[in-house]
Order: sequence, then structure tokens, then C-alpha cells
Amino acid sequence: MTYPPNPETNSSPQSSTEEAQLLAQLRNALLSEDREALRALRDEWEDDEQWSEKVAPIIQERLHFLKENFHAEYGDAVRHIVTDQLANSQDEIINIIYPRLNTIIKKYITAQFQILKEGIDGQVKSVQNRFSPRHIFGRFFGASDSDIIMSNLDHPEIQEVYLIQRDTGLLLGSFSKEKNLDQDVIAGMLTAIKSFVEDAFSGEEEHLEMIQYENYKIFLQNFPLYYFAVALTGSISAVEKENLSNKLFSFAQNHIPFDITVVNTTLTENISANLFEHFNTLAIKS
Amino acid sequence: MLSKKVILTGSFGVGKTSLFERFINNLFQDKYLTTIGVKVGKKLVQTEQGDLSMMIWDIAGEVTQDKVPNSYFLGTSGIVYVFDLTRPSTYANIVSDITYLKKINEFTIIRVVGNKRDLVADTVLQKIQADIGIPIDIFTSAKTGENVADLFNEFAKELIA
Repeated sequence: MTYPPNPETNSSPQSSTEEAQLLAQLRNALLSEDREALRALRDEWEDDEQWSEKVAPIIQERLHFLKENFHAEYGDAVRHIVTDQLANSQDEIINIIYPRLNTIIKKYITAQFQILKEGIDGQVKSVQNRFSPRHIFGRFFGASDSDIIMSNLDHPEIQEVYLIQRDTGLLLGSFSKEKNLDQDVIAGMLTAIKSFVEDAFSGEEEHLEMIQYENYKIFLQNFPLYYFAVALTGSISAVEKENLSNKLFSFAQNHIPFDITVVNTTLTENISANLFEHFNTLAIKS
Repeated sequence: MLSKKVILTGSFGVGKTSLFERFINNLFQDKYLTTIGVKVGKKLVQTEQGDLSMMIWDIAGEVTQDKVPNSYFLGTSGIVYVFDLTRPSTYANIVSDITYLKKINEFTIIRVVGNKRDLVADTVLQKIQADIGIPIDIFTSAKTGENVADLFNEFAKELIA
């Protein structure tokens, strides 16, 4: 069975061109707004600045949220990762920490033994002194025990303090009671001596701690990025050394900026002013 | 004012200390005194970009640079490698020395300096330049002072930039 041709679908080439034109017009009429919106969207997408203006606040907001809520959101996950990592790397951690820990314990025990030894020496000396000709003679003329003991002591006195960048030897700050020499050069030379000694006689974990000539001593306190060099006159006992060390640690904690990579006048002047304030009248007590 | 560390290095007897003394104190001594360990000096250099306090470490000469203690190079901003234009043995290891210095001081500016210029004729100078295998940055004479200030002043500009 055959059907008669449909006059609406059976179109000639001319009619199909007309149809296409009609369709195009229809499409233009219906889609022009969408196309315009699409173009605007594409322009926006391709323009980094516009895109960034819209996205940046959202990212900022999200970052802020993360900052505020990191612990609640990810605390457990991070704790698990760190715990696992630590549990799986115990040998490596011990390998890294052991030499440093060993040095710290060794130093601590040595310092405590020195304090104990000085205590015993002091006791023995005081008993011996009671019967010394000087003591008997002193008492005869009315001098008290404390006067006699005080006259025997040669208290340490801070003459100069230098804070020096560890690798470069550049001076980060200084305080000196007598400004005779160029302190930058002293800082450089001290660093050179320190580097030489540490290279020649010790491993990475050992540091030069004292330079001594006659009654003058330079006490060195090392930190990872810098070190203190404190020039002293008089004798310094282990207890006094520990007290001085504590003062230096406290100064480092409170008055040395975190970033000391760029050494300029502003940095050195600030640190020098602080050093003067803290060490000019400091008495090291035993 | 910024402070930077600069190292003077090279073989022994090439004139490192003479360059150091000429630049810092404007002095020259004919007598040779070997440097023991390190000598540190300071020079303030004024440049258009600002002033620089140059801490110069004049270190004892070594035949090859791998014999110099590594700790001397720590934190250095610039290295001046000096050789003696009259003694080929002082630049025989120059290529390996510079390669080594670049390896241990990745971000440090290195300058190669031919010293004792006053003792060498221009023709010999050209031959050395052609033979040596690496570019020589400047020829100096610590004795006459030729190019010494230029060497450090130009270096200061680069360090401060």
C-alpha cells in the first residue's frame, strides 16, 4: 500500500532554504538572550582578573573557616596520620634525636658534677680558711667571716656582649663597656676561630664554649642561627655560668626577631639597644 | 645599611692578602707573609643602590678549594677567586675549583680575578685568557692598585641589587 505525498513535508529545494531561514530566525529570536548570557559568561571566565575578583572572597572565606575550624574538622585525621607516621618511623626518629640527646645529657651531667665539685671545694676551703693565718689575723683586727670570704672572691663582670649570626659571622647586635675595637671585625674573627676549632676538633654536635686568656674569658652560648659571645673579667663558676646561660636564653626568647636573614642597621640597632638594657648592669650571681 | 660576607680565596701566594690590604687600608707590602687561618676585615662601600658593609674574609690559600674548611663558606654572599697571572700552577685547577665552589655555594656570586697584572705583558695576558677555560672577570694589581677598587665596588653593586 502506498501513501500520497504529504504536501507539507514534500518540499522542494527552494522551500527547504526558506525553512532553514525561518528556523534560523526562530533560533535567533528564542536563543539570543541565552547566547548573550553565554558570551558574557565566557568573557568573564576567560578574564583572570574578573574571575579572581569573584572567586577570591569565596576562597578567603573558606580559608578563614578552615583556620577557625581546622581542629574540629581535621584534628582527628591529622592526629591519626601523625601517630601512624611516628609509630612507623620510630627507628629513624631515634637515629635523629639520639646524638643530640646524648650530647645534651652529657653536658648536663658534666655541669652538675662541676657544681657539686665546686660546692665540696667551697666547704673544704671554708673549714681550712677558719684556721688559716690570714683568717686568724683578720679576726684579730675585727674583720667578719663574710668580709674575709668576700675578699677572696673574684666576681665575674660582663664587659662586652655580642650577638653574631652563626654562619656568616655578621654582627646582629652588641653591647660594650669600652668601644675600642671594630665590633664587626671582632664578630667575624670570633666566628672564624669558632669555625676552625669546631671543624678541627669536634663533630657537628659539639661547639666551642669558652675562650680564655689570662683573666679574660669569652663565654659562647650557641643557638641554631646565632650565638652569643660574652666577654667577662674575673672567675666564673659553673653555677654562675648556668645563670648567665639562663639570662641569654631568656633574652633570645624575648628580644631576638624570628627573621634575622637580612642584617641591616635597623636590626642591629634594635638588638644592641636591648642588649645594653639587659646586660649593662647585670650582675652574675652564684 | 646592609651587611654581607665576602670570601677571598685561591691558591697560596696569589695576592689575596695584598688585595685585602690594598682595598681596606690602601697599603701594599712587598714582603710575603703567609695567612694563618683567616683574617677578617670590614669596608663600607657606597653604591647608587645604597651603602654596604662588606665583611671580607681573607682565608689561607690552598692548592685546591676542596681543602678549605666548608664552614668558612657558610652564609657567604660573594666569593672572589684569585689566581696569580705569573704562576700557571695557581690556575691549573681553576675549572674544577670554580665548579666545586658553585656546587657548595649555589646562590653565591663568584668573581674570577687574575692578580699581579703589573708583572705581565698584554700578549701574555691574552694567551692566559684564551687558555684558561673559563671567563676571567677582571685583572688586578694589588701593588699598583689597578682595578682593585673597581673589583670590590662592582661586586658591592651586585651584592646589594
